[in-house]
Amino acid sequence: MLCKIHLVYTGQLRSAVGMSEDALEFAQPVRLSEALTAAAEKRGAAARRILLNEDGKIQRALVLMVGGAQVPRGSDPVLENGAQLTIMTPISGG
Amino acid sequence: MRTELTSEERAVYEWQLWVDDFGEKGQLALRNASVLVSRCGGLGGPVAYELAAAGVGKLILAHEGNVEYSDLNRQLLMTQDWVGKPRIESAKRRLQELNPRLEVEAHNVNVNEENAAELVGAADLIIDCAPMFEERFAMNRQAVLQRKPIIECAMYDLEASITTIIPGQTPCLACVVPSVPPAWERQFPVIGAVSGAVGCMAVMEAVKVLAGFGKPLLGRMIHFDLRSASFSEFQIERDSDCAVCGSL
Repeated sequence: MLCKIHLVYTGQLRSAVGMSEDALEFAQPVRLSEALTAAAEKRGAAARRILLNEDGKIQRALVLMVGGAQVPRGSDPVLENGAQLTIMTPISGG
Repeated sequence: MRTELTSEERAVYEWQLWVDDFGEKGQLALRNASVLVSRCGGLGGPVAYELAAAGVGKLILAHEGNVEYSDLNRQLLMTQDWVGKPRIESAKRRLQELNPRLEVEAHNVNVNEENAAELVGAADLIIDCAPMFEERFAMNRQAVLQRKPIIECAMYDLEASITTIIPGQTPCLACVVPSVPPAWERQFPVIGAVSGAVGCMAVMEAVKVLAGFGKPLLGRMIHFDLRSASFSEFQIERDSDCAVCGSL
């Protein structure tokens, strides 16, 4: 069964990719890290620089939400069909 | 500590004294409170202005530098005739024009590792409106050490986010953002009304925490995007390995 993941981009990531919503399709449920890597590949170098570090791991400073809850730091949950992943790049005052 | 409002205060705050669960008790709590606002620019300016209007007794402001033309789209405490002069003087002048009862302690310096303990120590509550993560982390560390509530608000483009931190009870800033984000840049796009919108929400969080009523954003973060007028609420979690608050 197809697994469709809905993505919401915020902050500098939204600026970098030029859109606030996106979708990815997989053959089966995927881990969060796989979804982020796929988003980086789909959206190019600017997105990759924000999403992944030089080792190809998830950028530590990202704030990740699945549905309405934060993903605990260091965890890599499985995303089921229909999951919504919100990727927040931390912002500040000024 | 004041235990009664003056007749002038009753007249000025009459409309908010009618607010359920707030009343004279809430107003006195604001009157007796000190709030640190760092900084008082696009975000901190509306925050300080609304705190002054609400009747907070003392504001401690920390903001270094002089007014620039590029401040004026959002830094509502700054005026064009003050370009080239200290921001903090313009802020103090405009706040005391609005509320002459307000005590303002103005520092022409940004919060840093050296002064954070003293500035946070002088306040009952902190509102973080600073642009630099190093500055924000210094305030967060001291707020946690001194068990002071801190409102975290931020903006970018037409987006903003806000949460309220009670050390030991909710995630702290470092639980949510453990390191300086590599994508962050000091200058960024924003329309002043976005900072005003999230600034007003931050003041309402401060008023609720200080006056002890309502339901503050504890363990919850609101993110909104005014480009699409959409609001989202997220549950945020304490990090048991957090270097700042993990041991509380």
